[in-house]
Amino acid sequence: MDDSQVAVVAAFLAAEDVRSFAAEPRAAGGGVR
Amino acid sequence: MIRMVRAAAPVDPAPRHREFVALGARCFTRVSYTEWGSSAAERTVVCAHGLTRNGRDFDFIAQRLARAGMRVIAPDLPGRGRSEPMRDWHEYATPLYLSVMSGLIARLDVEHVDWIGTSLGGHIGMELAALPGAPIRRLVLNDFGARVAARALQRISAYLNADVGRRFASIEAVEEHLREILAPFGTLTDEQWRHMAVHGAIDAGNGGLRLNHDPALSKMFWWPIVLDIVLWQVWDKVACPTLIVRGVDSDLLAPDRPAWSVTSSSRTADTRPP
Repeated sequence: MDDSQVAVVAAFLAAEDVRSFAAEPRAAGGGVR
Repeated sequence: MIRMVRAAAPVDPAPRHREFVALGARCFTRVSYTEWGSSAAERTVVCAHGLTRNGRDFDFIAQRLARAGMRVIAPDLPGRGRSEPMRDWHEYATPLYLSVMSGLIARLDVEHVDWIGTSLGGHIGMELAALPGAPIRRLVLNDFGARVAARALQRISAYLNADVGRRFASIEAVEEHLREILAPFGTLTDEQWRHMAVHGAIDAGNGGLRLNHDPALSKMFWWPIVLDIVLWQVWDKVACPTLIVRGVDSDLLAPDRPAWSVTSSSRTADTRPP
């Protein structure tokens, strides 16, 4: 994983819930299903 | 809102090497792992590596997560890194990996863990998370999903068999080789490639080096791989939020996948990733 992917992983693990995680600006580029 | 977990104690920047004995199908085997962060941390993250790699691949992300207050556990699967090779290569299969990782989780003395898995490590995490009562809170699949492309498995099979008996004259030669066969890992820094080479090779005698895994792993790939591996029956049973991360140059996941995608804990046919 490169640094940007590591940042996404760290944010995903730290988020209180996945939908709030997806709403964060850093989440641009992905999506929630 | 994103909330970073607070450390229960200052983070020790040095990794701690530990080992335990786990049960395979026909024997016990010694399994090593690297631990980062406080053992009293609120969150514990298990990082499981790919087919021929080892837990030291996660040193960089482990340090980052430990600084954020998490405890990180990066095992070497049997036959890789510091862990003991299996006496019978037939054991290198999913039942062994699930048994060993179950033993590891039990050893950690926590109610649940988060799981980051690359390739094979992602498969193990997905299989575990699909079982009723699985102690996995969140799952991260790095370059792994419910459909694994046959062409990627063919590529892995080719280099795995070609590497049997291969010797390297220097750590630079190991790094050059890893940069070639692991190119789908994406954009890594020079420091990261060297790190993977240093921990991915061991003394082969006569001053040479060889890759740090049991050569018998290649026997799992002796037969032709023709079809994609499809694991929807496993995916649909995963009961925790899941993040799939796709490398820019990945060939394991479809090229039209987004860089990452999240699936909530509720699975339906509509939540299957492309």
